[in-house]
Amino acid sequence: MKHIGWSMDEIDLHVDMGNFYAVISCILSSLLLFNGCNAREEGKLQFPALSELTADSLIVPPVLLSVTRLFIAKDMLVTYEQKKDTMFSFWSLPKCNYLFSAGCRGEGPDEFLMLDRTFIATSNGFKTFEIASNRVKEITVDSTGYFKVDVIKQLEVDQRGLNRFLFLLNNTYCFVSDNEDFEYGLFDQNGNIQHFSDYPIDLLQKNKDEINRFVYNKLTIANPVGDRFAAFYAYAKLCRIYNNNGKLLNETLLESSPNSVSENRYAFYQYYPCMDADYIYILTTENKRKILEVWNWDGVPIAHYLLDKDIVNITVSSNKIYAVDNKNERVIYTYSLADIINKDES
Amino acid sequence: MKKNILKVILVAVFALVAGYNVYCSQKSAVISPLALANIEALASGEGGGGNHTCYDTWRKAPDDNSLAYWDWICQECEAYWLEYGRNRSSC
Repeated sequence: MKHIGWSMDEIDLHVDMGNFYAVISCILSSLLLFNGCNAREEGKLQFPALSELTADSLIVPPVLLSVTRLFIAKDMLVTYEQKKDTMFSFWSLPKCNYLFSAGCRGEGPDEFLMLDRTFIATSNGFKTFEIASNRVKEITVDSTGYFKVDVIKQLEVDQRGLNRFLFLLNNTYCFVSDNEDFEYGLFDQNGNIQHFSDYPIDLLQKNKDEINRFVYNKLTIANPVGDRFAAFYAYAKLCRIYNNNGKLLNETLLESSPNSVSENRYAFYQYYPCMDADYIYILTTENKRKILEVWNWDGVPIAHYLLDKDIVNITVSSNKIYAVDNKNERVIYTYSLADIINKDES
Repeated sequence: MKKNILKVILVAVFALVAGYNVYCSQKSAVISPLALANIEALASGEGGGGNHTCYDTWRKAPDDNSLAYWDWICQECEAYWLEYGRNRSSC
C-alpha cells in the first residue's frame, strides 16, 4: 500500500526543517538588508560617454591677477581676488566688459577681513561670510559702481573658522565642523548648533595623527533655495546630498583610492563647484586634462565634458559657464551648456 | 548667657558684612553691553586673540587652494589658510 501522507515523525522533521530554513532565510535576508543599507556601492551610477566642450575666449583688460573665486551678482560676473587690495572686480554679462573694482581689506564700514569663499547672489547684490569675525555681510552693488556693505548678522559661536560656510533655508547656516565625530555644524535661527553627518570612515586610509576633516576634506555647495546642499569629497569621487536639516538624502560613490595615504592622496575634486537650480558643475582632472562634471541635486551624475582649457575657476549664468585659468590674465573663457539642457529635456 | 548672645550677634554681623562685600564685588564685575560689544569687537580682529583650537603641525596653503581651511597655528596663534593641520592644541 502506497503510503500517503506523513507520519508524525516525518511531520516533526518537516516542521523542524521548515523552522531551520525559516531561520536561515531570516538571517540571510537580514544580512542582505543590513548590507544594502550600509554598503557604499561603488560604480553603481556612472556618467554617460565623455563629450567635449570648446571654449570661446573673451579678451579682457589686464585686471585679473589671481582669481580666488568667480560668481554672479546682479547680472554681473564678479571676480574675487583674495590677494589684491581691491578684491572684487565687476564685469557686465554676457560680453564680460570690465565695469569697476571695489571692496578693500580692512576694518572700515565698507571693508572686509578675511572672507570665506562663499558668495551668494541676492536681489541687491550678494552676501558673504567674513570668516575672521564670524559675521555675515550683505553687499549692495550695481553696475554704476555703487558698493555698500552691511553686517547683517554676528554669529555667536565658540568655533572660529567656520569653513565651507553655506547659506541655507530660513536663515540657517552650515559649516564644516572641527568635531572628530561629525562632519558639519548647523547653526539654526535660535543660535543653537547641531552637529551632524558621520564621516565615511571606511573610505580612506588614515594615519593616527590625522584629523578627520583634512582626510575627508570636501567642497560643499547649496542650491539657490537653500533646502539642499552637496558635498564633493576631495580624495574619493563621492557625492553626498543633504537637506537643510542635515539629513543625508543620497550618496553616490563613483571611484575611490583607499590605498593612498596622507600627502600622496589624489585629489579628485579640488576646485570650487558652481550651481544653478537644476545642476551642480564641478571640475575634475583626468590625465592632466580638465573635465567638467554635471550632477543634479539628487546626486545623480548627468554628464561630463572634456574641456579644451586648463581652467580652475568656474561660475554659471544662463546656461553658460564662465571660467578663468591661472595662466592667461587677459582671458575669460565661456562654455555653452545648451547641449546639456537639451539632452536632459529629451 | 549674655556673652553667648553677644558672640552670636558678632558672628552674624561679620557674616553680613562679608556677604555684602562679596555681593558688591560680583556686582562690579558685570560689564555693560556696550563695553562687552567693544571687547567682542576687539577680540574678533583678524586671526588674533581669544581661545582658539590650533595646530602644532601644519602646512600653509596657496591662496587659490579651494581645499584650504582657515585655521589657527599654535606657534603664532594666528589664522591662515592651511593645507593640513595636525596635533591639535589651543592658544
